[in-house]
Amino acid sequence: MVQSLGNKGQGSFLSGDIPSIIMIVISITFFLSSIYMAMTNFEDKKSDVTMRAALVEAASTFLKANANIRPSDLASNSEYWTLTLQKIRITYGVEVYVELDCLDSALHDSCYATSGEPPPDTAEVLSRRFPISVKPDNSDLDVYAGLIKVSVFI
Amino acid sequence: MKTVDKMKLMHTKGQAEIMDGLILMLITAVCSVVLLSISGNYGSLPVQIYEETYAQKLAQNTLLSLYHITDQDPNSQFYKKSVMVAVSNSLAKGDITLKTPADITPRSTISGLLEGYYAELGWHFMFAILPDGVMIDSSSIIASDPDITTLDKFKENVGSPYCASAALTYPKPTSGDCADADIGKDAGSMCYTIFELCVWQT
Repeated sequence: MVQSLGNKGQGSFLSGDIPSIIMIVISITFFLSSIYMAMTNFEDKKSDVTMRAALVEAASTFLKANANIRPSDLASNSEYWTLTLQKIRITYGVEVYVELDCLDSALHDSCYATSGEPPPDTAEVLSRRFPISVKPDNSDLDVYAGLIKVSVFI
Repeated sequence: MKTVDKMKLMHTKGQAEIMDGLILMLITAVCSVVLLSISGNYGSLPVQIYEETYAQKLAQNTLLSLYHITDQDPNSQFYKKSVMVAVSNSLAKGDITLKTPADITPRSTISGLLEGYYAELGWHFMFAILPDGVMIDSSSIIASDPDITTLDKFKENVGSPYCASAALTYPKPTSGDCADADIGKDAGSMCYTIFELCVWQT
């Protein structure tokens, strides 16, 4: 009878190495998937932080350009704007697309200007708009309320 | 060794391996939770700072824009001035309410501009004068939110606005005293007062 019990114990699933092997495999798999998820999280957040930093930099840049910006200058990629936007591109490793528009609907046609390549439909884009005063192309006497929209994407 | 002892040893060995496995699982679970928690919170502080900086820049940009935007004098075909010059002229007359005639282009008055910015950006804006440089004068409040008409309502309804302030000079009133109407302070041949522009999201 004792021999019979011994055989029975030897044959039990819980008495051998199999359970511990299963647990080790599960643990390692779980840990590796956590590392993968953490790495993905890090990359996403890093990209998000970079894009937000680029937007704040753009806001600061256009703050200095208040009342000095003309739609035609921005649209023609003047040297100043080319270098300014290039600096943001290089510093943050993002693409920048800028849209300038007047707040007055009457001026929209003559005021709208863009700079850079628009983001592709599939790109993840982060945009911010803020007020700016705009000099129209046809006058030195007037400055209009405008809005500038900066979009950054990778 | 007796058979019974052998059996006990084997049984104990099985339990020990299971315990090892369970401990390993526990350790990896704890490590994974810590790792995911760290990675989940990574960048949240900088993002919050950038969001606050953006809001601050929004207030500064708006404030600076007001200095430049042209206001056409309704009584003159040629005379143009900045919106803030119009504010300055109002203050020189002791008018702290800054009410402008209705026939002026809406986008060249403080209230019209703030309403326009709110309509486009979805942020609320408030312009007010701080005669002592600290406290907002309720009678000077101009806000894109029609509910914000007094300092108390501003405090009640607006949690943590982002504000930018600057000084504005204006001609001395006819009496020659800048403290008339409790608006400003003496700055030699001119008077000056502090005004503030706040932005917030509802």
